[in-house]
Amino acid sequence: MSRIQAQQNAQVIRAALPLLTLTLIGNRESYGYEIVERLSDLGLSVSTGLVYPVLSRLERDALVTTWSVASSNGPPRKYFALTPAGRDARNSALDQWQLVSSAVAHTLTTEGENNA
Amino acid sequence: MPDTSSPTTFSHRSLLDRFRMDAFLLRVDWHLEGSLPGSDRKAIIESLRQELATEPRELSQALDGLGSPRSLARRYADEGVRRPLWSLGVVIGGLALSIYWAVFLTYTAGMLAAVDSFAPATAHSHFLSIQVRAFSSADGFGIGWTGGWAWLVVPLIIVAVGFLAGARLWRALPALRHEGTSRPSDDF
Repeated sequence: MSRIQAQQNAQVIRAALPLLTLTLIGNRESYGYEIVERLSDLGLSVSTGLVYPVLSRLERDALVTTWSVASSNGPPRKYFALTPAGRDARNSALDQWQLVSSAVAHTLTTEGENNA
Repeated sequence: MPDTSSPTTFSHRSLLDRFRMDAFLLRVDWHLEGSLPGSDRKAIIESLRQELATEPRELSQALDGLGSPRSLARRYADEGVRRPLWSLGVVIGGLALSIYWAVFLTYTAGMLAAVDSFAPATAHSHFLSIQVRAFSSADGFGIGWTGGWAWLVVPLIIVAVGFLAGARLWRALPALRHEGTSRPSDDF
């Protein structure tokens, strides 16, 4: 993969990560590393170094709430759940993503046909 | 759900791992200082400490996943403004004072060696406005310097310049706060 392709991939992932994170947390309350694993299960290999800052921003903006859950065989884990404001933010981000992705898909289809 | 639980973290990590974790977090905090206020940094560091303590992976893998402290801090400070680096200012100020003292003592020791080779003799000189004296005679030898204003003011100026330059004090100016704000990294 060329450097430009890698940068492009990274930018797409970065742009989608808040929406993906809000969606995953909205479906099921999770802790930080679990979100990385769930993304990995979906085929998106994202590092903790990218997900934790996103979670931090979501928490700062009160889009998620956190609490610690004690574990019998380890330290307590910090869980994240969506707030009503987070739900609104997710819906808004989803609308925007669909708008952009349909525009991109449309452009690729029409311009792709012209280039074929 | 409100965040009412205690953030107290105990870790299954070994003592060495905890030391490595603290060293890593210290470096992240160091880099964050240039972008975020203390309360935000504290919250981020505590959150990261908890995540690192609870990740089921080996610590080296967990740290690899976070990337370098600099790039991680950059991601946390995505929308932050540039702030003075007070900690770095203290280090640079202290370093400047140490260098000043080392050069000053080397200078006076050199004077003493020169005077001693012509004993009995006395020499007077100035080092950054401070009058220095070295003498050597059959009764003994020694060095001395005057306790005037320069003795206090010169090191103070050196420390102040080192501190202000190291802390990048110009970042406190509102007009320069947003220039060069940290850019997002491309790796994921």
